[in-house]
Amino acid sequence: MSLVPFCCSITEAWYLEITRQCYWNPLFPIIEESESGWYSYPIIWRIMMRKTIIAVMLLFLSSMAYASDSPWSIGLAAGYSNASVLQNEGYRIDTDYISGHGFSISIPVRYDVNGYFAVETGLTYIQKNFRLRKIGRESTSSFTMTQDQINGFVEIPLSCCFSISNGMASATASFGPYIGIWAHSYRVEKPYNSSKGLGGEGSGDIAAGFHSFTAADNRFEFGFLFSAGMEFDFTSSILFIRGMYDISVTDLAASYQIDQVESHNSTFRVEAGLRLPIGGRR
Amino acid sequence: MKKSIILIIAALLVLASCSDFTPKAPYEYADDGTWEGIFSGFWHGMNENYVFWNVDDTDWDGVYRKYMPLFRDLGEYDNEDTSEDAARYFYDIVSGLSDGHLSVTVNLKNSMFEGEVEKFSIAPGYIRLAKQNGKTDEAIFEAIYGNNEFGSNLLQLLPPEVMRENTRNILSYVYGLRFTKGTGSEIRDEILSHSDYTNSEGKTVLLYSNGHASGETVSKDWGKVKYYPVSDVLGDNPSINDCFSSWTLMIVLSTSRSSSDKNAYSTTIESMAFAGITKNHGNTIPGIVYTTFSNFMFAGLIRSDYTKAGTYGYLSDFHDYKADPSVKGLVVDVRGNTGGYNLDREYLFGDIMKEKHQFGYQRSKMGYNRLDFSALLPVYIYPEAGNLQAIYGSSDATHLYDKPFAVITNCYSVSNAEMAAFLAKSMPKGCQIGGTTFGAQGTLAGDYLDMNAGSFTVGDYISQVYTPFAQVVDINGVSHEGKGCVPDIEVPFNKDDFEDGTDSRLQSAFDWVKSAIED
Repeated sequence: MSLVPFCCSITEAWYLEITRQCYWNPLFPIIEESESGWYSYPIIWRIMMRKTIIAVMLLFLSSMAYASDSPWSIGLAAGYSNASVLQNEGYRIDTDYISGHGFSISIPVRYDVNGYFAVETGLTYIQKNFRLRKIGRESTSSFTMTQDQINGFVEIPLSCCFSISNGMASATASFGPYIGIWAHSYRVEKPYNSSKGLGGEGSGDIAAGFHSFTAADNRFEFGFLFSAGMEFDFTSSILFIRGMYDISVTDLAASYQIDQVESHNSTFRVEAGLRLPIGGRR
Repeated sequence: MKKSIILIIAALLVLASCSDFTPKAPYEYADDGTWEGIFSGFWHGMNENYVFWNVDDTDWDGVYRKYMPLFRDLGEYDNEDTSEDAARYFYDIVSGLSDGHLSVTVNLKNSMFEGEVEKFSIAPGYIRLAKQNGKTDEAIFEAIYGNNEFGSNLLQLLPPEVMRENTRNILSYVYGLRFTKGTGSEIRDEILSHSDYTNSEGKTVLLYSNGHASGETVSKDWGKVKYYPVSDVLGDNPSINDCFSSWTLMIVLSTSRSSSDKNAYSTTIESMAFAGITKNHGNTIPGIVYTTFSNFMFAGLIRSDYTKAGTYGYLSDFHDYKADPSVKGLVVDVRGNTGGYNLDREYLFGDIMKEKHQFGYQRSKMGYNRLDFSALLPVYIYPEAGNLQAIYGSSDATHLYDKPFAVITNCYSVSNAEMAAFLAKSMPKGCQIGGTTFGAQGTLAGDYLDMNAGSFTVGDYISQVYTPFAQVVDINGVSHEGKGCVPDIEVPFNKDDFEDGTDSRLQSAFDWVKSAIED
């Protein structure tokens, strides 16, 4: 009974440590501009992070008291994502996409077909963040235009998993498609400002806020997911850690013009989590 | 079950688009020397670098589908017989676009003289004005096709206020100044004789003020400011001293080689700026700062030591009028003002700002596709008294910020003149009076490679597509590109009254300021 407040106090301490560190720790993505030119998390992400840590700890602790034997299992995982955009560069050789840091939270649901094969689906929230950067020229000097996108996707994967077990530890690999919805896009943009003061005021001005999706955006995403990792079977629960890569086949923009230049998400992810059996025999 | 899975996969593959289109620079499409390649370069250049696709009604994909086969049928560029058809196709494509700054210059093989190339320029802003004046596309095309000097024929088709209602004529007709000999267009010798401070671009700044009536040289921190005798610019019956207690006038002369005789030089009045404090005369109420200027040229003149002192002298006088604590309002007259440097907004209005003042937003192009736009970036005029302290001294003009601010416009108030209208609509007590503006509100700099959008060429075939790299929209986030800013108080232009010295738009502005003071 006293575990919950105990957990909360621990996670609160973690959370405070994380948020204190996120201004410099590259593992934690960023939104508001700091001295270094990157951006720190808005408060909403900090709250989500705290709730996720609490949920993971509660799941882990409750699993200690529950044992089952079932082909079905469900879990919770969280991880770090690093996304970039694939696009034909064309003639804008001074424009590039820089990969951005993000995080993911997923609820994997798995059905073990036999000792080697399984099918996994679930629900994933993943950030696919990136920076669009353009080096421009003005008279004799140069300037940098940027657009930082914090993009959140909610996805449903469907993977075919293969694993080789050696008692408690298993090596796993999976492949399959996924579909997703582009849930939100928070953007911090620093275009070239044509309206500057005589002392250069305004040259670093930014526009920041949630992007209002329009008919020009394609919010449906379809792509393929690959993963490889390790699993550890603790009788009552399975701890897993895995590296994942997903690539979207769909364009980030809706198809609205002749000779459209397409942009595709390309995302690496490392996640760790815990799965619990759901009733029956495993 | 199997069927359902196949159907789902098929649907997903349909939704998943796959294109391997790699964008090329516009001139690369025209390498084959065909009209098809030239059109393709133009179409793609506009597709990727034109910044008004979110406000433009043109179906750009429809243009591709309709005109690609037509240009393909024209064949080779070198065939002179195709020039007129190509010109007409480009005219029909460009004339309906929103961008008021847009000017497309197509170099056509001359069908009369073998080996010669004729420039054919299409500017939808001017075409729009000609149509408002009741002209047909046929008449406009005829006026500009085969005419190397863009605009000389087209200008005849525009509304009368375009050529008449401007700073020079306001000062002549309304206030009795005279810049030419008799009724002709030749500049008065008294004005032409002053060219002591001509810069490398052939520009000379002349300064006149009733505070220095006899003409004198004043030493300032930034240099020697020479005031010329006001008699040089006074007409036979000037009313300027009756209407203004203090006034200052800056004339910019431009000297260049004559187009007819390469060994001769000709001098024209390129720009003009006037400012003064009204006094009680006729229907004019006293204590109003009135300014009119032909374009936003100050930042360019300040770059040269030869023209900087005179320009600072004008700005210093203008600031002193604004800083007079007894003045009750500001009237900014941008009729016929063709725009210019963005920095001039700071020079002209930065001293009345207490804090940075937002007058609109800028929307930039970020990616290749037509609708790859940035969010709206607020644009401001900044408090500049500190930056210009060496010129303005310690006098404070910020008291004007909360006082009536009127901007007079007409259909030839272009670009930064329209930003003055945006400013009026964003000030605590602002009002736009007169006519709807031109509708060219984008901001220009560099080219498409420098700025990620904007001006480009299609090799030698289309030597210029002049277009902004970003939109500027009003304080409510609304674009008036191609439509113009509609005045709060609309006053029609009457040519005969104006040339007789009765300026109903100016009178309406003073009337509005009077009522705003009383409110």
